[in-house]
Amino acid sequence: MIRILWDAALPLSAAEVRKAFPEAGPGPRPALTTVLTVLQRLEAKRRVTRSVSADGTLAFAARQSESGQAADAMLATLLATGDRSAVLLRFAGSLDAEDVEVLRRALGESDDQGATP
Amino acid sequence: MRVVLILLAAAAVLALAVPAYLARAGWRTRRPGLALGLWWAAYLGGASSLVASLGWALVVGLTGPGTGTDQYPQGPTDVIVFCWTALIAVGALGSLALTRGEPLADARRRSVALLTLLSGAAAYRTEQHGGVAVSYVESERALAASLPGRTPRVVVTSRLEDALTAGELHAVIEHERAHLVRRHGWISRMARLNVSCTPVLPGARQLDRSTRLLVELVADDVAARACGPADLAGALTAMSALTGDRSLLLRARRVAGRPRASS
Repeated sequence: MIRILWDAALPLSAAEVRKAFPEAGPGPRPALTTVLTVLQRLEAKRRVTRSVSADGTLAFAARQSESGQAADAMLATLLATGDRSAVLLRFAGSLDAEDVEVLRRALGESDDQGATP
Repeated sequence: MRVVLILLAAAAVLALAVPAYLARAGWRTRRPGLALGLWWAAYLGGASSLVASLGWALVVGLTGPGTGTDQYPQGPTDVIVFCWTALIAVGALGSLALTRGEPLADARRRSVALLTLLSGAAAYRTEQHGGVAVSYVESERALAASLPGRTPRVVVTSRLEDALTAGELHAVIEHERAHLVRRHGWISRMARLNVSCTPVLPGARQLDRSTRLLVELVADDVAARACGPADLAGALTAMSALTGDRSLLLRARRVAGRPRASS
């Protein structure tokens, strides 16, 4: 379903998404309610955005482009690999609670003002 | 024998007493570069003293009992047993370093391959910044990171670029560039390898932890001098709002008020 939204130039209604499923696919076209349910779940996962078109129908669009999603997946793998080996130096997220405590003491902050990542 | 004992005592002081002092020194966050230098001088000094003590013992053992202060009270058999024990210990440490270093080297190769792929396939813009390639990739994740290597590279995501002003973004890139220019990646990997080989030594854990903190503070200071503390503090504050990492606010407070280098 995400691929259909990626391929579309404009946001699509649930009916248009359903229509975009190939007729000669591996199974029958999903019902409109099924398409709506999946779109709502994708929206809850922040992968799809919903808007109201000029004629009042709900229209859905992919929140992120295909390349953006691929980049996100590669970044997640890079962070996991890079952090384990200390090879990747990140602007944020590299310090833990003990490091924060050192900084807090050096700045003369009290615990209730402190920061934990 | 006295020389060996002196060298062993020096190794113990450098491996235990100096790290214990440095781990508590209040000035280390004000002078992170000096603190990082002292940590590594103590580590390398301690390791060198240990190796020198073994080497000295071997030389004296192989050349026979001497006279004066380096005369062994033990017989030749004891000296030979000591020499073999020392050689076995050095060999075991070397093979441990190779075994533990291989997964780290493998992870590094995979990270370089991934970043090259990411920069080539997903970058919507690449710029040269002081001899370092900066790749901008489209992503919902707010991230800036650097990866050293034959082609050192900085990656910045669209989410972060959109959230920062031009001056703040410049400060972030200068911070990452400082890591690359000052070889912080190599230092961090050595500290990680050291702690993975000798996890029971408190000094090794403290070295790894201190290196991780101090390289960030050194890079902050370099970026603050190059771009001004206001832009770096602004970038740290914005990044904290995006990621929820409140340690960045402490780093912002630390750099605020630092002078900008006159150009």
